[in-house]
Amino acid sequence: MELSRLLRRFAPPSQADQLASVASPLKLWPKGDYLLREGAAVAALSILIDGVAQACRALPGGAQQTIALYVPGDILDAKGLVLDRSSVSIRAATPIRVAHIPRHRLDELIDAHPSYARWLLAVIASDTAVLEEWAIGMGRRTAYQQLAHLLCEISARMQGADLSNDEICAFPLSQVDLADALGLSVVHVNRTLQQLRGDHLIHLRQGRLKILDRSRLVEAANFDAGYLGARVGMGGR
Amino acid sequence: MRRFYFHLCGPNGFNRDEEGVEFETLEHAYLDLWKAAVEMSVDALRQHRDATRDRFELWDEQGKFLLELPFSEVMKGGVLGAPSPMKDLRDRLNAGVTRAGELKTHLTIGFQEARQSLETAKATLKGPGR
Repeated sequence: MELSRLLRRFAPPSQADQLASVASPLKLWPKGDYLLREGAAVAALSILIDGVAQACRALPGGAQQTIALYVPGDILDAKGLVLDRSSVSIRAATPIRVAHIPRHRLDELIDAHPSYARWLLAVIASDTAVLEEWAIGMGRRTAYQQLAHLLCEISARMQGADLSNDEICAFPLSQVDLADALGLSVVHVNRTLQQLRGDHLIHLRQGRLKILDRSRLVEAANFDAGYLGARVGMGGR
Repeated sequence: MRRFYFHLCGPNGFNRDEEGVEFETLEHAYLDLWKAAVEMSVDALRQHRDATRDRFELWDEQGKFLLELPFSEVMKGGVLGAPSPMKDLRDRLNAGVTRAGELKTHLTIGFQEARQSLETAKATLKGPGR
C-alpha cells in the first residue's frame, strides 16, 4: 500500500504496515484550502500522500510566515499531536491527498508498543532539524544563498519522495510561497531567482525545477543534505 | 491581479526583469518593492558592496514606466524613520509622469534631428545639378 511505503522512511516495515492499517480513507483538499487552523485541536496524525502543503503563521498586517513545507510522506505538524493544539495553520499549496490516523488509535498503539512513541519522536526531531537550517538561513545567509539552499532542499526532498527524475523535479511553489518561506519580499525573490538563472544554475518554469549545475548550486548554498536524514534515505530506520 | 516589472539599474548596468510579478494593486506592488530595496541594501552591506547608486524602475505590463525608487532614499528612510508609503507613492508617480514626459520630448527631438540629418544626407548625395 502507498501509505505503508511512505511511512517506511521513518518506521520499520511492520510498524509502517500497522500504522497504515489503522488510517482512515484518504481525503482530498483543493489548492488553497486549510486542513487545520492555528489554535485548533489536533484530532489525528495526518500524512501527506500527494502534493505539497505548508505550515504557516499569520502575522499582523496581513503577512504570513511559512514555518514548514511538506512533500509526500511527511507528517503534517507532528508536534501538534504532542501540544494538543496546533500552533500553525496547514494549507494546501497544491491539490493534496492526506491520510489520517485518529488520535485515539495512535494513543492505543503507543500505549501497547513504545516503539511508536520513538517513531513520533524521530519525525518531530527531523522537523526540528529542517527548522534549524531555515533559522540559520534567515539569520545568516544572503537571499541568494538562502534561496539556493531552499532549492537544494526541495530538490533533495522531492527526490526522497520519488518525485524527481535526475536533475528535474516538480516545483509547484509560487514566488509568493517562496517569499513566505524565506521571510523575503516577493520582488527580492523574483530578482534572486533571475540571478540564479543568469548564473546558469537553475531553470524554473511551469512548475518544474531543473538544476543545471548542481555542484555550483550546492557550493553557493553551502548545502549539506545530512540534516534531512531519513527524508532523503540517509540514516533513519 | 496586475503584472508589474521591476528593472534594477546601477553602476553595473541595467538588469531587465523579464518575468515580472503579479500584485493586486499598484500599492501592493510598491510596498513590496520598498521592502525588497531595504532587504537588498542590507544584503549589499553584508557583502561590503555599495548599493547607494542602485535603483529600481517599476513598469507595468503595457510597457509604461511608473516610478523609480533609489536605494539611497530607502536607506535614508531607515535612518530618518519610516516614510509614509502612500504619500511617497503619490510623489514618485508624479515624478514618473514628469520623467516619462521628458523621455517623450527627448525622443521627439532625437527623431526630428535624425530626420533632418537624413534629409541633409539625401541632399548631399544628390549633389548640385543632379
